[in-house]
Amino acid sequence: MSKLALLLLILVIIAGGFGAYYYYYYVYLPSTIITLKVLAWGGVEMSETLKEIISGFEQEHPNIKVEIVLVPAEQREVMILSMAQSGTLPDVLHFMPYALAEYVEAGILDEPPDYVIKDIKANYPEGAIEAVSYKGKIWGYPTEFDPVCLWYNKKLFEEAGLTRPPETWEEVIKYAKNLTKYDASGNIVQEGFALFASENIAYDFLIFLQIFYSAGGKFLSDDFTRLLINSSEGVYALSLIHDMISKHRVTDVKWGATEAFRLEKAAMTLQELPWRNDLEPAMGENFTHLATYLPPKVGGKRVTIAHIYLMGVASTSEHKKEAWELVHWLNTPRREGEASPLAQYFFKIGIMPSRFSDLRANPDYINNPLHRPFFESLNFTKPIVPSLRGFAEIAGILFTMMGNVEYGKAPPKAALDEAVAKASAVLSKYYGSVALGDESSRAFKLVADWEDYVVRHGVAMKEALKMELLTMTSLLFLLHRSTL
Amino acid sequence: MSQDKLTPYILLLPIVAHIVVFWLYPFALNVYISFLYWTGLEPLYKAKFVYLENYRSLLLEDERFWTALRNMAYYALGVPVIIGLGLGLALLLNQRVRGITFFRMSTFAPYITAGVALALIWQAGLYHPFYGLFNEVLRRLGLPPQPWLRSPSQALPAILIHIVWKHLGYIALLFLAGLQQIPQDYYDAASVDGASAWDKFRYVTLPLLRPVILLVLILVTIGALQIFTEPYVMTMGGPADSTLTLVLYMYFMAFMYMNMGKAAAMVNILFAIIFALTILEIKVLRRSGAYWG
Amino acid sequence: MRGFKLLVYALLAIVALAYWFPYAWMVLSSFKTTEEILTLPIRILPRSLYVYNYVFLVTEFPFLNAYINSLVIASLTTILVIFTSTLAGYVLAKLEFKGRDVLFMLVLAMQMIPFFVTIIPNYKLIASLGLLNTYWAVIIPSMVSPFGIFLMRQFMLTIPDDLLDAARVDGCTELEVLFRVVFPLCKPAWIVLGVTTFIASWNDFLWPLLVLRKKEMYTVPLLLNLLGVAAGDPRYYGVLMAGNTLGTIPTLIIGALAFRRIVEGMRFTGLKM
Repeated sequence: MSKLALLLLILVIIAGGFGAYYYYYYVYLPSTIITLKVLAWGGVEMSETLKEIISGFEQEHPNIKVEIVLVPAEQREVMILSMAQSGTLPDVLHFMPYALAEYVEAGILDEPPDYVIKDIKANYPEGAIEAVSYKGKIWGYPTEFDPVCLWYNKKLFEEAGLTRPPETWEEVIKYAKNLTKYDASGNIVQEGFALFASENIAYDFLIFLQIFYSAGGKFLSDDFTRLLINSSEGVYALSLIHDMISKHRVTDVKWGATEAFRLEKAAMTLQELPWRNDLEPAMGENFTHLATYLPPKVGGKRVTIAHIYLMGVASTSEHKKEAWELVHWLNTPRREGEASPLAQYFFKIGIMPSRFSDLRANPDYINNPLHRPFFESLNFTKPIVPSLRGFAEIAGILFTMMGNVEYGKAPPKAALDEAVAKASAVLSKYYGSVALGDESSRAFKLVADWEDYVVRHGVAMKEALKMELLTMTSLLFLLHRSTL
Repeated sequence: MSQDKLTPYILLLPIVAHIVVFWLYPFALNVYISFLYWTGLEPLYKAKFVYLENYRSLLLEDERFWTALRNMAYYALGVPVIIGLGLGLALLLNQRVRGITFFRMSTFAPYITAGVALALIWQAGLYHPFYGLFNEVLRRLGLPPQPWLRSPSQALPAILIHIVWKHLGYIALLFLAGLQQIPQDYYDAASVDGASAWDKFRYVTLPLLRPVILLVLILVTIGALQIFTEPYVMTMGGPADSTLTLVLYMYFMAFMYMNMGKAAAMVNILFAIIFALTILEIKVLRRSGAYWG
Repeated sequence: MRGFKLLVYALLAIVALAYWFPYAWMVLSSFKTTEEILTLPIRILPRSLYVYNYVFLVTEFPFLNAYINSLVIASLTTILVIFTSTLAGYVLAKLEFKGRDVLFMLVLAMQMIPFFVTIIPNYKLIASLGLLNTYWAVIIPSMVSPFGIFLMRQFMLTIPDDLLDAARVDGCTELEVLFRVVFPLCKPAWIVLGVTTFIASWNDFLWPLLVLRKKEMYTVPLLLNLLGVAAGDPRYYGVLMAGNTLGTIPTLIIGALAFRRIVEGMRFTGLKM
């Protein structure tokens, strides 16, 4: 065979290869059955339970199949990042939107249809709705809203002669002084109040916020350019924590609260309900010594905060209408007086849903003395902070501030002032007069466009490339053999 | 014969292509990203062009960046320690006693063990305030137990001790190679001149080891600038950022704070520092003519 | 002189103790029950060989999976690195062509770029190609190693040209010279390169942490990190130590067997590793 003919043959095969794969992926594969992908986390058992529950939806909608995309819980938000970059976001997203502003600004969330928004407004606590709102719009169902309440050890209380949990923060300090035990050299062997410190300083920041908001503090200025935590309420809140460590000496920052509670070496702390999953298995029977109560008041006022989970639809979804139907189906009761399918799933895995009808549908759960304070707190629970851009980075600054104060590296007022200044520097980029630059300079648009192209066709390209490599390698081999 | 002319290029093509795609292109793209505000969620072309804003905010406004740099300077303090100890260990391992290979391998073992495993053993098994071996030993000796990784003042030194321990064997082996290249004649000549052991060390060993010492100095410093695994596993940046390193902070900035532009800027700054050091290393190597192969 | 030798042995003993005690503690702890771990004062030796930690490790965590993942990734990476390094090393050392020196400078320059510079763009690239959570995400970026190319080139320079010319005279094509004459000579260099690459790949942490997100795909260091996080709960402490024990055995064995070669490799390339 002449060299030219061989070359032509190769070119034909190459063209054919590419053609075959593009056809396969863009014409053949898309079929009439709509597949919705749902993002979920947890173990295999949990996803099996979720699958069972979702099968109810599949029965009602025979042309829709639901696939669950399982990710490890800690990796959830980073996986969303990578999936956004590779264009493989699932249709339904269920995640913790601590950076809701960034997600909305990047345009990866779809705006809910009106019937969803109406349903959310009518059935969820105000704080939960606020937590999933940004720029005046609601972005999905606030499925899980975990308020922070008081946890205490009844046994240790009884030993100190205390009969009821503290109502105010002054009482907390008083109780803590009674409950703290020291050894011969003055080290704390039993904490009156436990902080999370080296275990996870973010939780101590939540405690700070609980005091701050109860004292009437406001987190953010109305124009979103400044944090207001260095107000008198902020100084009060942070000083309270600081004094617990250095003045009253009722807590030891070397211990993490979870450790201390497990070993029954701490009497009180503030945490969310899911914390029981860290305590119960490790404590066994001793877990029954623990009890919960409403978070402490400041000056007669009681406010607490909660983490939020959002269930919404990705803007890259090709079946948004059906996806919202699935989301709505999961979050609304199928029959009057019943819990919604998602709530049934939540109850099975030990999570408290935030929808009122779900909570009313399960009175045993609500009236369980361990759960009740969390349920009652829903009325005065706020989102941790209003959704704002750059919050993740600011959170880092705020956690460093907590650390500086807890380890005595800075006094409360100075630490607050510093944190506010640094946070403002971050915020000014998004909300201030120093606006961010305009769109990417045209010169680089080519590269950027190519990047986008790779993202959208990446998978198909990869498959085609694989096949081409195979073909060419075998051809090269044959060529080498034949010309020898 | 035309086949032969092309052969080198054909053979090298995939390799060069790989280097371009996975080293050169990312390097250039990283520079580009550092001029953007990009969360990583939207396509790159939608990111906003912010010129030098990331660098400015990093160098002028970001306290944690400077904290990380200060921590790295502290880590760099460990460098002379590791060099001194390494040299001493090398001298010890250079002795001709039976079974010396076993001891050499022992000091080398941590270097080839997964950093994660060692970091966890030290964090959970040795440095733990209640169940760790160190505090148990202190308690038995009647000394007060230490908070180690739980205290901002002790966490960084604790991690530093661990890192020095891990790499000491490797450094010692490098010095050992250098020591063994010194011809015995030099020592014999010195003995003839009436030199003591200390004199021999000072006037024969040290000068001839100078290029190795300088080389190791730079290698270790460059390594110290890239520490990630130990602080990530043991303290996640440490109580109050006391063990924060630049690569760790970059990881947070890119994948948790979703500010890829700033992370890229940080990376470039760090690279500039390392690049300068590497140029220094090459100059040192050239000057001392040390290619040992 | 007796006194001196005694001193040396004493110092060596101290060194050995300093280097083995963490491993000893790891192994001993892996056989302790939760109770033993949590009671103070701490006992050094476990009461008995409590193997349940190991059982728990293998059944509750995908430890076998992680082992296989690490094994596959490290092996494939090593094979590919040896292949590409030998190829490139040979071409750069033995073949004359335009731009050869420039390319070699390029390879050296690549060694100067630290890994973290390429992390973010490489991550985006791998994600775009849909390769996240696959072996290839870890293997492909590492399969060409500037260090490996450098090592093999230096080694190739020591192969006498006469050998190659003789083969050429006998009528071999370049490829045949490479495969039939050069490759068999490379064994010592391959051992050095192979061992160092395998160990480095096995121990790699940051990159797999980024691109392997599902537990079943974790490599051993990633799984150990997961165990470490879980070990905030003291019940998992023994399991963590069991995991560490199993995870560190392969590299220790390889290191012990190939120790001499590794040291040779260190000397050969100007003390870099």
